[in-house]
Amino acid sequence: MGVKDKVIKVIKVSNKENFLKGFVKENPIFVFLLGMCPALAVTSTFETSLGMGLLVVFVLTSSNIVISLIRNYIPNDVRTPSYIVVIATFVTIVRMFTERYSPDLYTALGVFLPLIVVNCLILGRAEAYASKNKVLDSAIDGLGMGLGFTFALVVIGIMREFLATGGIMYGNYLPFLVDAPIYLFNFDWIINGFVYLLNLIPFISFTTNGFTISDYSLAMFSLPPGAFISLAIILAGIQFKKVRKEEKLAAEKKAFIAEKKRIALEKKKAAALKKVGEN
Amino acid sequence: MSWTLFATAIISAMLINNVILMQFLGICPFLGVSKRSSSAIGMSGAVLFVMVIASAVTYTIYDLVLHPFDIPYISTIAFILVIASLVQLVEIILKRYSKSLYKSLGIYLPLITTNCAILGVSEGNITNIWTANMPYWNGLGLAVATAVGTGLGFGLIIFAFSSIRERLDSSNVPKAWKGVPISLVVAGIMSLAFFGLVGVI
Amino acid sequence: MKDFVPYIMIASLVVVYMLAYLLNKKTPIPEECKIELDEETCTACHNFSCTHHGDVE
Repeated sequence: MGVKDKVIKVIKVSNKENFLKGFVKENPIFVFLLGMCPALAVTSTFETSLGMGLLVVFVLTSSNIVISLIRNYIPNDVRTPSYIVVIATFVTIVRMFTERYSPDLYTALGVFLPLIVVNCLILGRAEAYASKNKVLDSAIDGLGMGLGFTFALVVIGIMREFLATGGIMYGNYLPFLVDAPIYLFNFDWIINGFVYLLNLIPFISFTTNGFTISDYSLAMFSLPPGAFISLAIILAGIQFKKVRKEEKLAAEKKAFIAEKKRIALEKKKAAALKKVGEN
Repeated sequence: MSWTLFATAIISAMLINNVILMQFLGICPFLGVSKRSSSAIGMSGAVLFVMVIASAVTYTIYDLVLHPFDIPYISTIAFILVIASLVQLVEIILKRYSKSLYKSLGIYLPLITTNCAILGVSEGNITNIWTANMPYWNGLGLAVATAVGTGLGFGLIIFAFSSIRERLDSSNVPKAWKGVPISLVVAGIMSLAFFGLVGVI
Repeated sequence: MKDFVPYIMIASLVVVYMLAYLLNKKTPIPEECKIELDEETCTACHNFSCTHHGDVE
C-alpha cells in the first residue's frame, strides 16, 4: 500500500499551468503526434484549420466535463464504451450545428467532421485525465489541450495557405463577422508598399508591371503532398531545436568533467612537486 | 450493373484515391506500426478484414434502418458503435475458433476500433455511393468493392513504407530529420508519385 | 411510436456493444498466443500509445 501511494503521488499544478501546458510543452500535434489525420487533411487553408480546431475544442471540453461528472458511476469494465458514446453524442451535436450555421465548412471538412469521434486526442484525454480528476480541472485541461490543438492546426494552415496562394483569406468558410471574404494578409501588400516607398525618392519611378505573388506560388502545398511536406518541415524544425539543446547540455557536461579532471591533475602535480621539494 | 463498375471502384479506391496518401486516413498506424514488414502485413490484413465487414454492415444499417425511419443524423453514433462491437465480436470468434489467425492478427484488433480509416470508409460510402433510389444490392456491392480496394491500398502503402523504413534506419539521416519528419517526407514523395495517377479513371 | 426509434436504436446498439465488450473480456486468450502488452500505456489511447511509446516489437 505504502509503495503504491508513493508511485501515484499526484503533483499539484495550478490552473494556469494546467491550461497552458497544451500549447507548447504538451502540444498534442507537435509533441505527442496525436490526431495527425485531421492535422494533414483539413489544414489546406487557415480557415478550415481554425474551424476544425474550434469544433475539437468544443467536443473535448464538453466530453471532459461530462466524463468527469459521471466518472464515479461507470463500472470499470465498460469504461471505454461509455466514453465513446459520450464523445459520439457531442460530435453529432457539433455536426448538426455546423451543417446549420456554416454549410461551407461542413462540406470542406467532409468526412473528418464525424471522424472527431475517433480522434486520439479526445479519447486519450478522457482516459488519462477526465476519468481521474475533478470537473473544473478536467474542463480547464480540455480547453487548454483543445486550444493547443487549434494552435498547431492554425500554424500548419497558415503555412500551407501562404505557400499555396501567397495570402491568408478569411470569410469563405466561417461566415461570421464579415460580409464578404477578405484578405487577412497578402504578400502583394508588402511588394506594393515597397514600390510606393521607392517612388517617394525623387527621380525614381517604378512599377510592378502587373506582378502578383499568386503567379509564383506553389500550388502543391494545398494538395496532399504539400500537407506531408509542410508538417515534416515544422516537425523537423522542432526536432532541430531539441537536438541542439541536448547537444549544448552534453557539451556543458563534458566541459564540466574536463574541468574537474584538470583540477585534479593540477592538485596531483602540486603534491608531486611539493614531495620533490621536500626531498 | 456490370463487373467493370466494381473493378473500377476497387482500382480507384486502391490506387487513385489512396486511403493514406490522398485521404489521410489511418496515419497513426502508418507512422507507428510499419516498422517491420511482418507487422505491416498483419495490421493491413486485420484492417482489410474489419473494413469489409464494417462497411457492409454500416451500409445495410443506413439503407434499411436509418433512411426509412428518417433518422440519418444518428449515423455517426450508430456507426462507431457498430464498428466497435464488430471488432469485439471478431476478436471473440478468432479466439474461439481460429487460434492461428488470432495469433497473427490479435494484437492489431484492439487498435482498429479507433482507426479512422474504418469509420472514414463507412462514412465515405454513405456520402459518395449511397443515393435514395439506388437498389440495395448494387449499393452494397459498390460499398464492399470500395472497402476491398481501400483495404488493399492501405496494405500496399504500409508494406511499401515498411520496406523503405528498413532502409531509412540504416542510412545517415541528419539528426533533426530522424524519425517522424523523414517518414513524412517519404510519404509526401510517395503521395506526389500517386498524384500522377489522378484522372486515369 | 416513430419518435422513439432513434432512442431504441441507440440503446440497443449500446447494449449490443457492452455485451460484446464484456463477452470478449470473459473469453480467455488462448494460451499460446498471449502477448505481453504494457497495459498502462495501451489503455490511454489504443491507436497511438501501443505503437509509438509502448513499441510493439
